[in-house]
Amino acid sequence: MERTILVLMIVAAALAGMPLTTQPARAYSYAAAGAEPLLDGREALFSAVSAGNWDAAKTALSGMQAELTYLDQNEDKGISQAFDAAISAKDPKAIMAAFDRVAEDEIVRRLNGARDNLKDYQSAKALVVKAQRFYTAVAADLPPDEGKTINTALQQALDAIGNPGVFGVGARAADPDAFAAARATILKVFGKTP
Amino acid sequence: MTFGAVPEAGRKTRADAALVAGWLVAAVIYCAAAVWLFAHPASLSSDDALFFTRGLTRFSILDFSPQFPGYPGFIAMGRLLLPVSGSPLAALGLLTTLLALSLPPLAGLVVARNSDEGWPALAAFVLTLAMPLLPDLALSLLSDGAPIAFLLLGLTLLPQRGDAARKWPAFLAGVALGWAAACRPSDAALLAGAAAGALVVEPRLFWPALAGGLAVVLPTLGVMLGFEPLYFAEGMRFTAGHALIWGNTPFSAGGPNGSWLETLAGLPGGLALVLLLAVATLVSLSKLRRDPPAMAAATVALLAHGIWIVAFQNPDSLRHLAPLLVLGPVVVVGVAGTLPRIGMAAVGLCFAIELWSGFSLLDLSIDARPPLAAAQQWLGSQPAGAAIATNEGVFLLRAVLPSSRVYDMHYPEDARLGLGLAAGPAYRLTSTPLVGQSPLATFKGRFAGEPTLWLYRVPKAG
Repeated sequence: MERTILVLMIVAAALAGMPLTTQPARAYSYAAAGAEPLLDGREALFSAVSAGNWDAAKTALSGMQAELTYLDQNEDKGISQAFDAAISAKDPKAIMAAFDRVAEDEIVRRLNGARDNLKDYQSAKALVVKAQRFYTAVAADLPPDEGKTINTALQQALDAIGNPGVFGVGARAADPDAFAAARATILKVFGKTP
Repeated sequence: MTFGAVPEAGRKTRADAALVAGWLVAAVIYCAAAVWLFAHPASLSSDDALFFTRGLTRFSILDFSPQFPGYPGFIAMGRLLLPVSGSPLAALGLLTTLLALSLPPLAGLVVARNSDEGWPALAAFVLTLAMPLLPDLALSLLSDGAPIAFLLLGLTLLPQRGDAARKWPAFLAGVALGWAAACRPSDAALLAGAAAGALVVEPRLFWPALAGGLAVVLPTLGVMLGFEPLYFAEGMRFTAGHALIWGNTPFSAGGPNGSWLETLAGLPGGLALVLLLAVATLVSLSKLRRDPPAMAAATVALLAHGIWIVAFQNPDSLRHLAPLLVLGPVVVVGVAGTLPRIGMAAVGLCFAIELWSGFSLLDLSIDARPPLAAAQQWLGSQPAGAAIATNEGVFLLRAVLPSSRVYDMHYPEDARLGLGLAAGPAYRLTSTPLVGQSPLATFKGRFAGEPTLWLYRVPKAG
């Protein structure tokens, strides 16, 4: 027994100098919530644009078409056309600007959903959190100086939803006025009318 | 009295004197280490540390203050220290340093309670003090040290074999384990392993220890649900995301990047140390049923945590090994008590590798800052409009560099196009050097477990 252990210890000592191999480290992103067609589509679209492959960009855009059509019909008339025009012009800056518009639309859409469901704690909170996660994933694409204002307003929106508590203990009612103020702050940053 | 007793008594006196001298030297080194650790100003070294500071003033798991599972025990202790430390950052620094410094005496106490001789406790104290990740546990401002400290406290409180009729010590040990779980629920495998090890050798501990554990865990869970009714929903998202999407586990999308073998190879002596601990664990397992409950608990906890980190933890984070490197010395010393000759050699080898491992990467200067803080200062001096793509500290850099665009390398194509179109200079900050490129700056880690960061200038097309 002792001899076996001694041999293992010598092997352990010999392994001590083994060299390090390196691979690029990955990012550990808590905000990556799972399948998000617009974010997956953004990766495919921007990859094609960076490579100057505009046919691939058109294909990538078709993967986001369902979301873009919804936004075009319900939230932001002309957003699909903005992408089509940017691809036709082979203009990376215009593509980036169009995606910024989509990101803003998505955040506002989720805030509007939360506002309409403010009496349903679970739905309202999930929608604001989705807006927050989406904002985190697109924050670098949006004007950097606005980040702090948006973050604070999203926190205020979360707090304004209230809390049902545990069996009513610690319950806090929703505050529609505070929610409206937080939403208005974010819309103002995005240059939209509250 | 016989004539032979005089030299025997003399030998014992000399051994006692050597033991006292050993403790004195260890105490002096311990005090020096404490002074050195407390001399470091608290400084944020990661997004997780930022989330913990936020959690001390505004607790919201959905808002990453802190991230799931909320670390309620750790946050509660941090809040207790807020009034005496002045700021969340200082409170967190004080808490993690105190917890890290509690580990050597607690490890010594666990062994002292389970040994008739004096030197094993001294050996456990010294080996834990020399543990290469101790500075990381103290200065990274993360929760890793808390569950280890309370686990060791629990092992200290566990009754001896045959003493299990005394219910209160087992109950208090359960309370300590419950609080360890409240501090870091993600160490559940470690704590479940400890409980299983103790119960294998002394099943009568089950009910009082379970009662103690539940006395902490159930109210904590109630408070967490009170703060956030969507706690379990966020838990599902976070756990699935960690295991399958972003956590760099064997089950992550695209497979794991790197491995524990590579990570250990990057730590001087790391492979040897872990192999040594693995051998000690196997030897300890072979005599598990003869061990006192605390030693059996340490052995099985070590094994359970080892399996857990291989299956579910990111090999980029060396700190996940910390429980192994603290419980390991306890197990090695326990083995040394059974196999004195080889055991003493193992203790000596363990100590030598720890010193090599720790001091190879240690920056003794108290002015050295975390790599992310140094990178932040460098980038902060650049003109407005700069764009940075990073795989480390996205939230922290966005918070401290409000006029820069900080891209998350989790979305590499977004980062690539963003850097290409940036109005100002474009940079890539990474914890692994880019092959064939010269860095603009290198921000070295201060100790084992703190990754070095490399900063590169990214050329723009055209």
